[in-house]
Amino acid sequence: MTATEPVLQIEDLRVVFSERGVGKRPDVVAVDGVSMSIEAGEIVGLVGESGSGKTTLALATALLGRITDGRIWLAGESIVGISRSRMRRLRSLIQVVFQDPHGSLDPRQTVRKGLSELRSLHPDRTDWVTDVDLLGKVGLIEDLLDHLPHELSGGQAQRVSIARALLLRPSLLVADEPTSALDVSVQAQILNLLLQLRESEQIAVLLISHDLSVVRNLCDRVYVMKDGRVVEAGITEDLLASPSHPYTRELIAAIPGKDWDRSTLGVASGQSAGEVTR
Amino acid sequence: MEPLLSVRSLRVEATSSVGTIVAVDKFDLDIYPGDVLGLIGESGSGKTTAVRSLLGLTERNVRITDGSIYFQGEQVLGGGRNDLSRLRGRHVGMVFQNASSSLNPLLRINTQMRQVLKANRSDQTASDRATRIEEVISRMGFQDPGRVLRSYPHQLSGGMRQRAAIAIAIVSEPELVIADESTSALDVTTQAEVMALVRELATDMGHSLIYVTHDLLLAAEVCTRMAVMYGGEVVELGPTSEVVSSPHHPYTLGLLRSVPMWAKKAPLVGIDGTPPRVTPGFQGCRFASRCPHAVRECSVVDVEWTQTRSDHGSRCIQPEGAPLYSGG
Repeated sequence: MTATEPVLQIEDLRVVFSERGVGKRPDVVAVDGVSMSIEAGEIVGLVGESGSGKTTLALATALLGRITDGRIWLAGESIVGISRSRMRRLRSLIQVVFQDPHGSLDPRQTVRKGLSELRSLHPDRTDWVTDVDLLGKVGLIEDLLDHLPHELSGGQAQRVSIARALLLRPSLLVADEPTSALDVSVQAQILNLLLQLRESEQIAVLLISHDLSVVRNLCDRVYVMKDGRVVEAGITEDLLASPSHPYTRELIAAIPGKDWDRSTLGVASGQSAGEVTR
Repeated sequence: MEPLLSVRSLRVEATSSVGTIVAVDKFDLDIYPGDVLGLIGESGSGKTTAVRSLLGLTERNVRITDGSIYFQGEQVLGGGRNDLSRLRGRHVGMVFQNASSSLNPLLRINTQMRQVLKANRSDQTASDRATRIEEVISRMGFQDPGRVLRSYPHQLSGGMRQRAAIAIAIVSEPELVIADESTSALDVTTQAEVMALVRELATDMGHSLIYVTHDLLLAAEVCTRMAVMYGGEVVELGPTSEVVSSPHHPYTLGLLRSVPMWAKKAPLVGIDGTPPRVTPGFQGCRFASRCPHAVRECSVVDVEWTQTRSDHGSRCIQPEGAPLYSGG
């Protein structure tokens, strides 16, 4: 793999859900000809409303979902027609973090047990880090290793999900609304963790979100989806500053509190006492 | 001006197999006619328990153990009285988070509105009611109000259902409407439409409104005043512009620093730690364990409410918010 090779490249991806038999409903084209590429260490946003196809696309990129048509390259290697064992190996290059951490962790498994299961499935990819150091990377303390998911707060459980994803040293983390089930004070911690992991682990992130403010604060590039198609894509700042598609403009218009600005709130970090009292 | 609703030192306890927790404590609130108040808090802050208690809609294991409530000057709770259920529907309307589960799936919207009106306004004739239903539904921003009235909930989209739920809440002309996370389940563009309707509800239709939400920015858009809750207590209350521009309580500041803002790319700062479990013997400030400015005193003394201006106050022993800025 050369340095310029995208981590993930998708061309003309289509995902169609169809029913069989008598009285079937019409086919649903959930993803309709989407092309996308993600470079190493990039944070890419994918926005759109419910039903726009973003989760279907995410599952397809993680090689977990159905793919009707299209081409996918992972680290330069095409996944069409490869063997199952090769596929399994490639798949571990992409890890997914889901919206509800409590729903994605086995309720009867302690954190330690869950990690050891992953280690036994992928012995050669997981021996680079100890459990304790891994938890350290996501800001959790060792004590939590013997906790069951219900003993963790939402933020802790989401950190555990991220730790489990990291264990396989993925080159891409697909995060599907990773903070929408969390409180804002915790959301900030998790988003910061993603930023920090990009630096420390050189990991690329595909961040799926309905919150354009989150995307603006975090993502280098952004794709906007509607009705299964990418209607607009580009560098986050440029795209959000001058959106060309009416749907993007509509999304931006709907953001609450657009006029609030940290600098006018008197809460900008690093502001000195003098500036406030003046 | 006399308040429409006055709540004084409301305390609500919830008992489960693992013991008793104080869900709401020292809750004081005055709602005036035309008021639009945002009740802000994260999960577990007690915001939903507080407003549900106002309506007498608490679960069986939840008890109001102290406090008094006055509605239009008349005592409805405390002093041996509990007339909260009398207020519900007729004087206080409620819009819940998930309209799909608060609407009756087996009845047309029209029927549901008629039933509510019949139960609350026995003074009206059948034709009065029909007129009122037409009038309310036509203000909800539907393209075809008639079709909505004839529809069952499953025939409506999420945004339409939420607007129908709002119509049901206000059809009996309640003086106060409580909306609990009424737009959180909706897509952003739909959310904006419903929020516009909620705002109109307060400004044009003259209802007082308590908007319960975890979303500070959303509340800041709609509400003229904000009450921030933490650990069952109101920790700060003031005009929206004051609360966001010069927050007095470290928790409010922490929330403001946590919210990804549109206007300016700035580093997000979360709040470390998790909220405490507040048991009946809990001492000191509830935020002390997470507060970057806490001093030894904070976890010992019973923190009193301090009114720094006539309309802005907080529950912090350093009420001017001075230390907030010293550490950056």
